Amino acid sequence: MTFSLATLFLGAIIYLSLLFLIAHASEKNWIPAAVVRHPAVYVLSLGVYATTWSYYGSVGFAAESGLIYLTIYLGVTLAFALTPVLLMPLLRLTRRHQLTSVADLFAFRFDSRLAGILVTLMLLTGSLPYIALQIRAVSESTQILSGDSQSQAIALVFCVMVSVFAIIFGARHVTPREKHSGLVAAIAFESLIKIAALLVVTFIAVGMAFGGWAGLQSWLQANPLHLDAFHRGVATETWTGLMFLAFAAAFLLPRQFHMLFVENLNAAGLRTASWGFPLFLLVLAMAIPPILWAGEALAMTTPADYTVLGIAQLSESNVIALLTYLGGISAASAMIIVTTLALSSMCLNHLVLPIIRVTPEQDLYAQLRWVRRALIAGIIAAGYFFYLTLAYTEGLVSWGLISFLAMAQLIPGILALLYWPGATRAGFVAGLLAGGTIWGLTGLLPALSTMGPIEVVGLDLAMTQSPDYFGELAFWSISANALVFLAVSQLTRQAPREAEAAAACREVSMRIPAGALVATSPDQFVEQLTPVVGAPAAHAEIDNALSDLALNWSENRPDRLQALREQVQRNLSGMMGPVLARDIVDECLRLDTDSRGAMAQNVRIIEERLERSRRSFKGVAAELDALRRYHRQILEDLPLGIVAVTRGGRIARWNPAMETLTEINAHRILSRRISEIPTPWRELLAQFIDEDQQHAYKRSLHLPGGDRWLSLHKTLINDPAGTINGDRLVLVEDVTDVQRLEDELAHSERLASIGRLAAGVAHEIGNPITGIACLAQEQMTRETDTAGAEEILQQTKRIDHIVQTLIGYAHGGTGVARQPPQIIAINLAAREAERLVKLNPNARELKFFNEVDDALYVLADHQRLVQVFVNLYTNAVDASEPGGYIQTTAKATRDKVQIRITDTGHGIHSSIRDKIMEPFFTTKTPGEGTGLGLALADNIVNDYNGSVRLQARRGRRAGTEAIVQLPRATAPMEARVNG
Amino acid sequence: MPKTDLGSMSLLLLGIGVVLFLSPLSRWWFALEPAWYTTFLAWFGYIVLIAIGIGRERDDL
Repeated sequence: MTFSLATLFLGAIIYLSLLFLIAHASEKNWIPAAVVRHPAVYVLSLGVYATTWSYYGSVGFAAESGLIYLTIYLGVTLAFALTPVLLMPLLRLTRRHQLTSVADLFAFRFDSRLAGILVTLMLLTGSLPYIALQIRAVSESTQILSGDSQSQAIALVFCVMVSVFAIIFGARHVTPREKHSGLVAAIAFESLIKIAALLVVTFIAVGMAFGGWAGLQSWLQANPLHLDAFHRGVATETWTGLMFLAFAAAFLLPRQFHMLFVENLNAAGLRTASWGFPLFLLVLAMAIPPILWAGEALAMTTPADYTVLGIAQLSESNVIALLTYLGGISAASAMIIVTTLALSSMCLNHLVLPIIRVTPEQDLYAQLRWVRRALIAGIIAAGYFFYLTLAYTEGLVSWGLISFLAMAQLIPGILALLYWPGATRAGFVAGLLAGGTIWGLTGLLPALSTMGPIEVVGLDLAMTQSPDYFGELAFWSISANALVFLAVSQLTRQAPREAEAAAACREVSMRIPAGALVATSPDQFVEQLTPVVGAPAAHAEIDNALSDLALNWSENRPDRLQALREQVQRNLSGMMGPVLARDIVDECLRLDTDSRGAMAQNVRIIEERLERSRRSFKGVAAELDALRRYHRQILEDLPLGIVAVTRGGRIARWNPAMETLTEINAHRILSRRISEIPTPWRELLAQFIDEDQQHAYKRSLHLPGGDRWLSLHKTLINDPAGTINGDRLVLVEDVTDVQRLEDELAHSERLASIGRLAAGVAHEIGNPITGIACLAQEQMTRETDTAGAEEILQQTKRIDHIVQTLIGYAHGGTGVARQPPQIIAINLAAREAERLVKLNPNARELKFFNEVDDALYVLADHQRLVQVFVNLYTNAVDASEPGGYIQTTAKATRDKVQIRITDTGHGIHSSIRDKIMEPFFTTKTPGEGTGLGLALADNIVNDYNGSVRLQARRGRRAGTEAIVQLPRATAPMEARVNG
Repeated sequence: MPKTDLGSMSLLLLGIGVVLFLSPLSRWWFALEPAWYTTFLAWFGYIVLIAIGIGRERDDL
């Protein structure tokens, strides 16, 4: 059964158009995103691994080497069993640093343009003949089905179609941030077609050749030699070598790397792929033996590589034959499209852009897109050229293995990238050159021996193209590669940037930015990038990076701007490769390496990196990290607000207690300037930081939820060398509760005093009342006596004065906001206190000598100072015997006034001298004293930056001296005028 | 399952794979001339082990 060339041509065109439709439908969201992003679609897209080699060539491979063909799939299964330790770290790495190819990966790890170039050249050389092989398979399958030897035309049209598809659906976005969902969907569809066609052919083959599966079993029993041949070669050196090559190819082949990591739409898909993809390959591989034996049983004349097609032809069904043919087209087109996309990205980043720098006058994205499109067309054209010039002597298997062997040279590098931070750039390059040279001379060159120039030289090494040979070659080339890599790495040192990249690959990057950013806003980033990438691209890149980090254009926090710089570098890396991206960022977004504030500015970045990397710490590093976390936790759990302020006035730490106190989230405030803190905290902290004093007690703050009293302490932070770096630490202590308690205690004490004074008040009020009563009786008899009326008025005033004094004392300072200190005459306060104390009958048996100068003033509150005097006088009265005296004197120094209250009481015993200022300490009998008088007096005086102390009376005389020191004030204006 | 356990599981699976398909054991059981599909059954069993060991993990790998 044959088809006309036009029919096959039309069939191929319709099929490729269907691919266009599927890709377009996915991109336009006509196919639900849930379907496109489903792990099953991702697993099927990985089926790009199965090229025409697997689809057609596996039967030929099995015919030649038996079960050894299975190694190409088992090796992949072993690689996917290592998903958590091999594939997932690579996925994380490529995503985080926007690496779009294997060459990017190595260029990033070894910070080497040369590494990128070498890997690109090697993969390009290894892949071009493989692409040619796909074109050849399409051409040969067309030839078999049509019987027309002029099949080059359809190969050419096929190349044009896949080029257009790759350009439209694979190079639409220049950045890996945006995935090509259409491409993924189309490649997954191609895998479905491949596997469906192969399974259909399998069932048809078994039916035709053996009449069913039981017949196959009977045939095998009747022909045991076929089964023996099939099992030959298992677990031999070739078996092991090829399995290793397949292991490497599973994720290092450009097309595999591209679909696995670059076009990964959903990280969870890789988890499903760990078993789903091997299952796909199992189904694919299981179809091969029945087809092989059916071909042998049917004694087919079709070449073994095309047994699949031959059986479809024998079925005499046009549909099945066409489906099988399209399966081959699927295998070839998927491989060419994805490989070309991967290679074009590598060539762009490592071969083209280092030579042709983009011009800022033109649209960066358009330039990159067009260069990449040109590369896609060029690579497929080169593959077509290879197809035209290659002789038809080598089987499909050889080119596949040559390509696999090229990828396997990267295995030592991949292991070093993930697990050997000490590996050096020189070691990698030397190892790759050693392994690559062996591969080139003994693998590639013999395969090209039939090509024009090489044929002229006279090499004829085609005999070496057997699986056994590649098994040995894999061992020797990779061993040489690994040994040279190891030896040279031991003999050379890493550059600092290389060491940084090595740490980043192991997710333990501790890099501190080398300085402070010169730019202070995203707008300045745009200005600095514009000369290199052009204004529109600069703006778009900064906008993208801001969006990636959930920042906005008003961002000005230095650590966030550093993060922005790194994000810009990552995004540029996705478009231009990691080396060029780093060069551009270093050149444009400059750092001031002299900035002493860099460390403080970047504390948050360092902490974030430590948090990300902590699981990777081992040994001493892990212990040091645990210690760091412990110390940080101390600060975090401290019930005091902690604010660290950098030399530049930026907030470097804002602990949870501070968050609770201020209701300002640390995330919102960190790295911002003090001037950006919401009021009234801004004023409080800014004022305190500017002050000379290290401590401030009970600063009141008016907040919407009520007034608060805060004590503030500050200190300078030394760096580890002991030198002061200008950063400051501020402790904020909320003493509101203490303040309220003190006020309540003062009020209680005042009420207690009033209780004690009440009897005196009653007595004092009683006398004038008696007088009033007598005078009133006299008025009743002498109605015109004006002198009597005046006396009544005087007595009434006396009562009023007593009552008002008592009321003023009772209400002074409770529950109201503390007034700022005022200028107070000491003498007035002392006299008022004296009058109050004299309401106590005991006090009246003592003499009071007030010798305070009327012109002495202090900074305090009148009522509170009266309370101090009352408390001290009350103590003096209680300690004195009737007939004693209490003397009050005051003297002024330059800025203080010292008030001395001397009594003739029993004095203070030395055993209690240290305790008398403590609250609730009293020597009085229960019910007579609260033990709060002196403590409250001390608190009040402290509030006005003064002090109280008690000492024995001088001159060995009985009694006590209470010495009160308060800030001196100059006389108020009216006093000076009157005086 | 924590990442470190997942890594250990992964290495264990690799070890099982090596024993099944690359060790002298595999040469021995192939010498017994098993049915042609035996290898595929062993392979399928190995895939099931991978699915149980690491494929059904809910956390991001």
